[in-house]
Amino acid sequence: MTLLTPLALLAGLAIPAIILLYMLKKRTRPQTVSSIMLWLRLERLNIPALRLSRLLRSLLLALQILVALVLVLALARPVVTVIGGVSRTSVIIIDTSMSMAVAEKGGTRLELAKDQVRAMIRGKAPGDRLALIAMGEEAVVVSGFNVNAATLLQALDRIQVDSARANLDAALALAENMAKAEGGAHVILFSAGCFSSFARLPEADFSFVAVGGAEVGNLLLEDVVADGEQVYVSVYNNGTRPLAAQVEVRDAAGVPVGRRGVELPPGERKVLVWRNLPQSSWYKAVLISADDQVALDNEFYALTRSDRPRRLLLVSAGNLFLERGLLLFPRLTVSRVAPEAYTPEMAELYDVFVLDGFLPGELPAAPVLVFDPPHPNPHFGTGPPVQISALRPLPHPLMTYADFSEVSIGFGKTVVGGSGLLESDRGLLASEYQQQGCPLVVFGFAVQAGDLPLRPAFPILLRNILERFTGHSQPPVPLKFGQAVPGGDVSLLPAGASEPLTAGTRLRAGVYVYRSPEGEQTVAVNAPVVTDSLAARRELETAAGSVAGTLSVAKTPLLWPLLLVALVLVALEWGVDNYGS
Amino acid sequence: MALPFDLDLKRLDRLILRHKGGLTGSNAGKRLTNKYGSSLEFADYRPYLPGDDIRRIDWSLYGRSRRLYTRLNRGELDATVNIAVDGSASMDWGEHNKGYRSLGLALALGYISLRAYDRVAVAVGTKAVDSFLPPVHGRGAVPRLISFLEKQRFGHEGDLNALLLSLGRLLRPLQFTVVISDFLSPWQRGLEKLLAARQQVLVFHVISPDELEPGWLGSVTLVDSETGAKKDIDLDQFTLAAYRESVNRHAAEIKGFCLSRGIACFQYNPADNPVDFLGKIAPAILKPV
Repeated sequence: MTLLTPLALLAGLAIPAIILLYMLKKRTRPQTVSSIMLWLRLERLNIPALRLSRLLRSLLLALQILVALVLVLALARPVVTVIGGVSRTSVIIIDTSMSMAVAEKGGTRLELAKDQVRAMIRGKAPGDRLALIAMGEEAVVVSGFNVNAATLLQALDRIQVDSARANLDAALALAENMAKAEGGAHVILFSAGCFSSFARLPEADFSFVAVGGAEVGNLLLEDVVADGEQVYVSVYNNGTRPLAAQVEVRDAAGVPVGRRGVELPPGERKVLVWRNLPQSSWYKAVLISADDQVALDNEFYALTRSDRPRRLLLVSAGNLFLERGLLLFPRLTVSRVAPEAYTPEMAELYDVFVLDGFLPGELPAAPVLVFDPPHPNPHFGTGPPVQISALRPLPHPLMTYADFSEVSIGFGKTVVGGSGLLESDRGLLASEYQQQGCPLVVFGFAVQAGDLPLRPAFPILLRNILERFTGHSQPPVPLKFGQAVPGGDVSLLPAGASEPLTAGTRLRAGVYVYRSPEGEQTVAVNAPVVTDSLAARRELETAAGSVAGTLSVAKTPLLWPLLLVALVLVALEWGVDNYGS
Repeated sequence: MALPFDLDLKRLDRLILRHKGGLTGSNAGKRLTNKYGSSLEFADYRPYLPGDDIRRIDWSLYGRSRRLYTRLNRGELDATVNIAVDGSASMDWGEHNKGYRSLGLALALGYISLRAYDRVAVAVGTKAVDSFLPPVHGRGAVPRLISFLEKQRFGHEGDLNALLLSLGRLLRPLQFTVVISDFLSPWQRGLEKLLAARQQVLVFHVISPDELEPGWLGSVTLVDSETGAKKDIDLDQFTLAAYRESVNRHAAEIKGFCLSRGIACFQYNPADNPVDFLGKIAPAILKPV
């Protein structure tokens, strides 16, 4: 049951007033009697007539409150939601594609659909069983068959738009299976119908509740590319009418750095380009339009793509193997200084540091690769130089494809802590640490302390490390709009935030820092982009024909029945009031 | 209250209050006692003693037994009938005024007693005997009795216990005491006191028809005619039924109390003429002379 004018419930304040009036002393007329002795005795008497009188008086108050309640409820215009032919078991499919994000009068299509389903759940008979399926690109059972309305409502609240398109065939197949397992259930689809034809209708009873209108005004940010100091924004009109909007580009600090107007007829696209923008690690494009009906696709986050060469500083007294090895990477600009020439100011000038037999007093806030660190040092634990007789690589992403089977190291220093890369018979020989948020990879031996530079493992190891340092080796993080934040050893921080998101939180559009044991990666998450028409359809096209959709589940107003009940109650109240007098 | 009493007292001429025996009196009257006296009622024989009146010798018995026996007869005394009338304001109530009718009833009882050569005393009061007619006797005392009763007024808060306790101090043992009241104040201790004073008690519970059946309904503030105390009440049929039951319980309580103590108790409806009423209950308390 839903209330069309819930504000009318404020009239319920009349009920305390009734109680107050009831408690107030009645105006009485004086009546002289010979003595009130016998009347006073009535209060002590407990005889049936008196009990009935008291009961009737209480009944009168109860009836008056009941009448007021019924009238207040009638004023709130309650409606019960009924779908014709609904069996006691139903599978409800709710479209969660972008077409359901269109704002209609009263909320988005998804909210309208959820309101109707919510009304169905609240209005169902106690024994009725309902199941909920979210129909995105995958069909997901949000709630299995359940009689508990509270559980169903909780499951319903979790449903949100999370896909570009809806996979109707998968959802219908799933619903059909569930219906069959229940020995026949009614399948009800709540959707805007924004999909092409589908294979077949389910064998179960099927109803289609069409949500939304055929007229849609929507401009969407189809794509945003931030390339260095340039930003390309593609705007598309997938609505049914021309629409104008302002497109604003903001940098990572949220400061607007560009704004332009755009007006597009339906089905047209326009690419806006901003050049010479202030440097930013990511940009956010925002589409501002009063007539735009889809809010989700009005913002788009793009990470800045930077292909500029990385500057690497090798601090070494002279190491031919390292210098040659580093030259294998064309996107690296390698400079070398002697350890005594290194100054802390250099930490600001380079992106990556390779320190050979040297450690500065303060490590630069950048990825650092260290060979043969001094012992002891203030940055990480090391042991004194020892003879190494056996070497064993540890499972670590940086050791991928690096074959150490023929590598031998003569002398080295053990390292303490970190994520181990190499293990010797004397202890950990190489390890990865984190310092100032940047990776620090330490090998406790000099490059030339063994035959490592002569082995194929050396360039592969260098490649693995430097790609990690320059961010090229990281696989794309599988984060999707609307998905639950993963838990375990993975954490996700909104850009600029210090606290990670709670596992299970639904991901919204934004820029996130993805932290995993493999490293850290900045990821942009955007709402699904769909350029298909968002105009709702009233019919589903199938190979066998079309299925007409109802506009909504039937809503039966309860105003007149409630007024009738109120009338009966008033008559009853009148009867009670006059029964004893 | 304007009296005179409009009573056909002649209908009561040949009646006398029944008594259970053991009455005392100071003068000869018409009530036989268990003592020997000069009535014509035979009581016993005893051997003749010198000095006995020879007119009392039973000569027929002497003829059979050759012994002299003296006949003894029962004595005849007058009884004292004390009539206590509740003079509280609650008695001044009703279409047929309870107080006026009670005084009429007292007059009728007094008339019966005076006609039967009993002595009649009347006490009227609220919390004590406010007005007292000392015992009078003889038919000639009837006007005096009427005159006394005509002067009585009802008012103030009553306490029947206090009135009867006060009356008790004026009574002698083995007398009649008639209590006429609406019993709308505490009464048990008063009646106990009368019994303790060895009185043969006769109770008239006066209850007005409009007390039994109030002629109004709705929300009213009841005002006590004696104390002015108030009570708000929503009077509907159910409350009215409960009130009726309350009145009946009250009457039954009085009756039960009297019954358990050998007191004759009658409910008197002031709508009834006192003489008619006495005629109705005559078999219970009256007997022909």
